[in-house]
Amino acid sequence: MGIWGAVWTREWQLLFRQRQDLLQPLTYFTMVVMIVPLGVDPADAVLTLVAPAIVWIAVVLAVVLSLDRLFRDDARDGTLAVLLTAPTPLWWVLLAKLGAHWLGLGSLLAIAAPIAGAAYGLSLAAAGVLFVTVIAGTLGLMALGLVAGALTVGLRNGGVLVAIILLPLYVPLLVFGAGAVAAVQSGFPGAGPVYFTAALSMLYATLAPPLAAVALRLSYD
Amino acid sequence: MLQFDSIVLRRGRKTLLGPLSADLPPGSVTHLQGPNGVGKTTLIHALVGLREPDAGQVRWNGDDIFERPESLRRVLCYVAHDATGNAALTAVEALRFTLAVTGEEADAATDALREFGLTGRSLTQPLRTLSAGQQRRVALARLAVSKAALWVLDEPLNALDAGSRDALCQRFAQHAQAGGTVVVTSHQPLPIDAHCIDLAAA
Repeated sequence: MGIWGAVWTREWQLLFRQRQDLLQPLTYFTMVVMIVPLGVDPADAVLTLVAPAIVWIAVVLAVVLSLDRLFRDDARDGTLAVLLTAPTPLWWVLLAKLGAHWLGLGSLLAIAAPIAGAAYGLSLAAAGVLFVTVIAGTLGLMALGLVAGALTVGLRNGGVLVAIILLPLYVPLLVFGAGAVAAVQSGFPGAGPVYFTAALSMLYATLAPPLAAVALRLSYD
Repeated sequence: MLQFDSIVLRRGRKTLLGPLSADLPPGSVTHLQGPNGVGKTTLIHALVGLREPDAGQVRWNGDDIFERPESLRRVLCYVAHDATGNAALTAVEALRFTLAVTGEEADAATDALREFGLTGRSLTQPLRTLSAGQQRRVALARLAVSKAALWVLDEPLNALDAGSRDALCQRFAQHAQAGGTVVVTSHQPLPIDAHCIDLAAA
């Protein structure tokens, strides 16, 4: 069994037994999406206009909420000490962990996002683009989250700090991700910003595991 | 051979420990002793590469372990004092993962756990339902299959009953006889021949 097999098996076992780790971010996403129209006139055309931004912001918040589970338990139960002293390259384990987290929560958010978008009155094409940008974008969001989580692993109030570090860093993904949907909604081609979202995500996912590995070694102890 | 070369460890400005020099040759069991708070765990962290010493070096076969950490990690089996594994996993799942990431044979997990006295339901229940002693044994079961030459164990005897304590110490002696190196912290005397380092005097 390779390292990826071992990490993925463990992540699925944990997700299956601690379903709240998936359900809480998803519920939070749903609530953010549902609560915005209550503050505005629900029939307002403005809602459709800002729908891409609202859904994307809800995705970002749900991802931030989910990051706590990346390292919190591992640091507490000694798993992190095993990983840090193992002969296996740490970045390789972290990449596997990122992949598992993305497939787990990222895919669920990508399914929920276009449904929310459709409820806001987005066209079918725009909802489709929303699906693509969320599935591509969540990889980048989680990659940045991996580094922030690694940096704050030894801190007591790490969760709040992670949110403060991350939200500014999430701006480019948010701009291109929501921008692609808004462009398609107004009848322009959305391919450019979609590619940009995917490219940024790939860049972050490539750089994040080695950076997070360094950060973990520094912040441990 | 593991060597401490005038290691100094500080907490903030306060010097916790050192300068400490010692050679831990293959075939030896070393017992690090000292009262609470003297810096046993901090020293253990320094010698497994989790924390760089504030002065001095830790060397494995002549290499500084912070310059060439891979050469240490390849031969190291480290069990922390708070190592339990994720409480939602079963003993077999937790050990399989540990063995896989440390480059050992994951399929040997069940046999290793049996060797450490875990059988039946205790293998398939979440770790949170096990007693402290059983959790300790799950963490230590790595030793049954470990091919690592250097064992570094922080308070391995905590929470174990008298029988398994003796069995574990015999395992240390066997590993040393086979040419391995064992480093152990403990508040209790070991019932085997061990080289003692008293950190309160260092």
